[in-house]
Parts: sequence; C-alpha cells; structure tokens
Amino acid sequence: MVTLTNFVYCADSQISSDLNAINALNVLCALKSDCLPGAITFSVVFSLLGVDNEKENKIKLVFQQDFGTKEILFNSGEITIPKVKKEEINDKNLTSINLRFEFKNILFKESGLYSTKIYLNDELLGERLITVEGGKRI
Amino acid sequence: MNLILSASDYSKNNRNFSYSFNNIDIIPNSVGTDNSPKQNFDTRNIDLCKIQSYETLNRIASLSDNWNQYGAKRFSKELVEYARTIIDKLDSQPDIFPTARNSIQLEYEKIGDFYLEFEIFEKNNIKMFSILKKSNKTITKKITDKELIEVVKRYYGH
Repeated sequence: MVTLTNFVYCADSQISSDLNAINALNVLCALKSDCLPGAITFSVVFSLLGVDNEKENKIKLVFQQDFGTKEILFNSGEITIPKVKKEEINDKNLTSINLRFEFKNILFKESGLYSTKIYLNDELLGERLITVEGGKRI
Repeated sequence: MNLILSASDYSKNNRNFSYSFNNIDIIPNSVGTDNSPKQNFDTRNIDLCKIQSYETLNRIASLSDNWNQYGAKRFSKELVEYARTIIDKLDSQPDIFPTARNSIQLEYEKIGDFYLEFEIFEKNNIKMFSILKKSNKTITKKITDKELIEVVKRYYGH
C-alpha cells in the first residue's frame, strides 16, 4: 500500500543533489495575495512510501476550492514517473520517493479553504488543505 | 531530555516557531535488532515539473512538417536534444512552446513581477528577452546556455 506523507506547502523547493533530498523553502500555512483576484505561485513537497519503483507510476495533482462549487483551479494531468531498472536498484529496497511540484501563477478569485488532491495510478492517496488569504478586493 | 523552544518570528497571521531538541535519549539497540533483515534503503527525488518538461519536449520532437498548418518545419533531433540538456540543468521549469521560427521557446512569468523568455534556435543559438514589470525595463540579447541557467537562478533567487 502506498502512503502519502511529509506533505508541505512552501514558497519554493529545490532538489539538492548533494544531500540526495528535496529542500522546502519558506514553509507556508497560508497562501497570500496582495489583492484578490490575484495570482500566486507556490510549491508542494511530499513523499510516497511503499511505491513499486520497478514499474511506471502515474501521478496526478488537482488543486481546487474546498468550498462552494469546489472549482478546480489546476489539474496537472497524469505525469508518468519512470520505472527504475532492476539492475539500477541492485540490493536496495527502493520503495520511497520524494517529490516536488510547482504551481505557477494560480489565479485565485476569493479567499477561503483550498486543497491539493494527489492521485497515484488513479487512486486518491490523500488531500491536503491550505487557506488562501487576500488583501483588498479589486 | 531538554526541550528548547524559541520563537523565531511572530507576525500578524502566522506564528513560526523553531524547536530544537538537546540531549536526545540514545535510541536503544533493540529498535533495530540483529535479527531484523539487513536492508539498504534509498530514496528517489523527483521534480514532477521536470518530467512534464521532458514530456513536452517529446511532443515537440514528434511534430511533423506543417504542424501549425502554416508550413512550419519539424524540429531537428539536435535542437530538441540541446533543449533537453538545458532543461536538465534548470532548477525551476519553464513553460515550453514550439515556434514557427523553428525554435523552442522557454517562458517564465511571475505575474506582476517579471517575464523571461528564451528562444533556442539551431546551432546552439539562444535569444533572451526579459521585462522587469516594476521598472518596465526590457532586455533583448543573445546568450549562451550557461548564461541562461545563471539568469534563471538569479530571477528565482536560487
């Protein structure tokens, strides 16, 4: 069974090849825009445990309102995570993946609660909420 | 075990605390007994945006002549491969478009902040165009792939 863990909303994220890790920069507990409607760019970092890396996996991220019409603001579509060849895995028990994704210029019309839903191979692994706060309405 | 709590920042809407643990109790050996199977764990680190960029380049590579219905030519393997080597070195991924000028365009935009565009042509020629929105300052110039990577790093503060 695949488990979703370590989910973080952040302003930016980077893969550090030196540390063999993903760095989440400026962890956010709310997304803020000077005014609404307004566009916000942000990043998410998360881990999947128990993944079969010897086969292709298809992941999808959907960002949507968690209120009202539950309008979808962004759908990544299916992104194929390439499989790892058996000989590359060697004797490692390679079942975990750290991932990063950048949501660019997502247009928010109003403040409120929003969520990211994460699907792996069409199965919903989980959803993580975040508040969006805006300044003066224009 | 001592717990040290420090408030590193306090703002109107967010409270950011940093916790640090000192003198953490040593984890007893029994947690990982000698009887447990020896496993060599490793983790993959994946940039999903980079995978999307590769998929876009694959789609561009598969375009045939007249792909835009206005006589545009298909893209050479060398040009797509050159774009791929650049994408591979970028920490932040751009939007990628094919152009009718037989070039591949990389676009970055932070609404209200900046617009950055690179057009990659055959024979490793790259043209950059940028606008800083606050000052309305524009720059157009030819650059190298190394300079492209540096410019993106600078704009994104990496």
